[in-house]
Amino acid sequence: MKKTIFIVLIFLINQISAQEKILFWPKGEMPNSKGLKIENKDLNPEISTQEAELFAFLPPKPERSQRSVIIIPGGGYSKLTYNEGAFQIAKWMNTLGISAFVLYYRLPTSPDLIQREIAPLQDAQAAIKYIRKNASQWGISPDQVGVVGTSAGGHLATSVSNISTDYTGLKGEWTNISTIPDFAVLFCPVIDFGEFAHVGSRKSLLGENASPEKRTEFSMQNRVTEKTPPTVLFHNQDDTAVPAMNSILYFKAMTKNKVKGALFIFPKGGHKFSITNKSELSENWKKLCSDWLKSLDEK
Amino acid sequence: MKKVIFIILIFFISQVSAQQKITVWEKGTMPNSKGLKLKKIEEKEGRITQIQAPELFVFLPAKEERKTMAVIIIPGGGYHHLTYDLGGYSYAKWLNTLGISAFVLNYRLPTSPDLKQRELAPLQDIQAAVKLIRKNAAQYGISPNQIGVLGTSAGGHLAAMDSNISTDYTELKGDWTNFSAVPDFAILVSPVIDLGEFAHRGSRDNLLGENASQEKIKEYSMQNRVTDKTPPTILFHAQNDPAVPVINSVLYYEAMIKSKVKGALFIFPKGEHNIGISNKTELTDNWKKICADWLTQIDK
Repeated sequence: MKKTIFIVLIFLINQISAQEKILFWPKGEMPNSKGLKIENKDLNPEISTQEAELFAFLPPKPERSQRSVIIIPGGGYSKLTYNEGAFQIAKWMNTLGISAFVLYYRLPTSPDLIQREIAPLQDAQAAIKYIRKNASQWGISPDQVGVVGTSAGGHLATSVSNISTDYTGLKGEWTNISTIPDFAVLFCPVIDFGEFAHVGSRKSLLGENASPEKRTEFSMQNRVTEKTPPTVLFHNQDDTAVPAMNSILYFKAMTKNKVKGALFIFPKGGHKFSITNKSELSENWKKLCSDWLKSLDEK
Repeated sequence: MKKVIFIILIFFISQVSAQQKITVWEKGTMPNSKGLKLKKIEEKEGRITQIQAPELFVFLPAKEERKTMAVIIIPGGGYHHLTYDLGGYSYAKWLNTLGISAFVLNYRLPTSPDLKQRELAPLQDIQAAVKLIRKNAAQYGISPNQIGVLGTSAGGHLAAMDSNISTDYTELKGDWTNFSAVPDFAILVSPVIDLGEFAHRGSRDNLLGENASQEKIKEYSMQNRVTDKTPPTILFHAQNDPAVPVINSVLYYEAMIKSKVKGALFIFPKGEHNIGISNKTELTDNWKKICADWLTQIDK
């Protein structure tokens, strides 16, 4: 009987800590909205529209480190592939003692937006501020908040890494909290909106006929400066959706600007990095990633 | 007593297999030589600056553990010397632990006074070495179609040259012509690739001479030589390499992608110009596991 209660309790706690949903925009302060009522549409396992929210995944207190990550799912800026791309990574981060927050951001295709291309950025910026502001509540550090982005989520992760203008419009005590993450982890990221673009992502974010200037502006390799946070990139050479050149262009810009980081391109694996991998070679990404995260503590 | 003999025997055998030296060129076949008699000069321990003729040092895993794959290891040293121990023997022993046979190549340096055409000698030597290993594969219990090259630093440049230059400069005749000089795969560690903007100056000046023409520099910048026939290649580099900028590996890998050559690129934040068998940082030390897994994968 005792055991049953214990198991139920464990289950309950797991549910709570695995599912804690956070509405990070202070009530009435979400910018760039026409005020339409939008329901979450879950086209299992992906959703196509949603409100901006965070899902908190916390390691047990005794195993919890100071570090945390905001996980930004991909989906070509037209949906969110939160299940495989994000929740799995969140759980894996927890096994390293790292707290993880999965971000549901507003998609640029939402009819509610006034200006489509800045909505995802506004949400990511506000999420970082929120985590930093409430860090002590979880026992984490406000100065060790990173971002993890897969595919189009990698584009958003690099946008938030490099765009220093604060688009949140948040006032008061919010203004002093930086929106730039302390580090970034990118998987098969969309970077370039030119020659090597994932066309779907570009069209969803910038619309059908974006000008060359706009494409250049939103090609993240062009936005890297010496202030870009340390970044590690993972890509597969046989990725046919987002060519590996995207990661290469970003890493070259990093190196030129003396931004510390790493670039790991595997021969095979397609457009994903999974927690369970088919090949022993691909399996190494986890060890590389966790060792890289550890190396951030080195001076 | 029996035990002592046994131990001595074991010692003797391991000495033999760890130190067996073979000459690359059969008597009278070495091209590009003025016929000078040169002494071997070891400037300091582990650093050879002059040899008369190239030689291969054979490292074989125990027969029971031996796979059919073999690697010719090309030490670096800026085309000025050969770091045959740190950049050669050390890798050979590690490969042996994977069951892979290894041959460390000490090649003629382009700075040798015996050469007629300086920039061709290292290439001639590696080409002859690949042919020799293929020709004698059965004797070592290895496959002639699983012969790779591993090059560090300037040795990476030579490995890339051997991977991409299809002209046979060995001038070997007869049944030698049946053996390809192009390896089946390549492992490049902190390689010199570009001899232009991102060049390791020393390597370029030693290989091509002080005032090489722009055409020559372009010709010997290996990213310009990659084709769809380049063998599968994996590259390792450290972002903070102060001697050979990391962009060397990036340029080569970009050319590979463009030509649809299979491979992989692993760039670590730290490791400087010293990625090796023992590494200061745990992250960089992963390169060996990745390399071993990659070799297992291309084996399939």
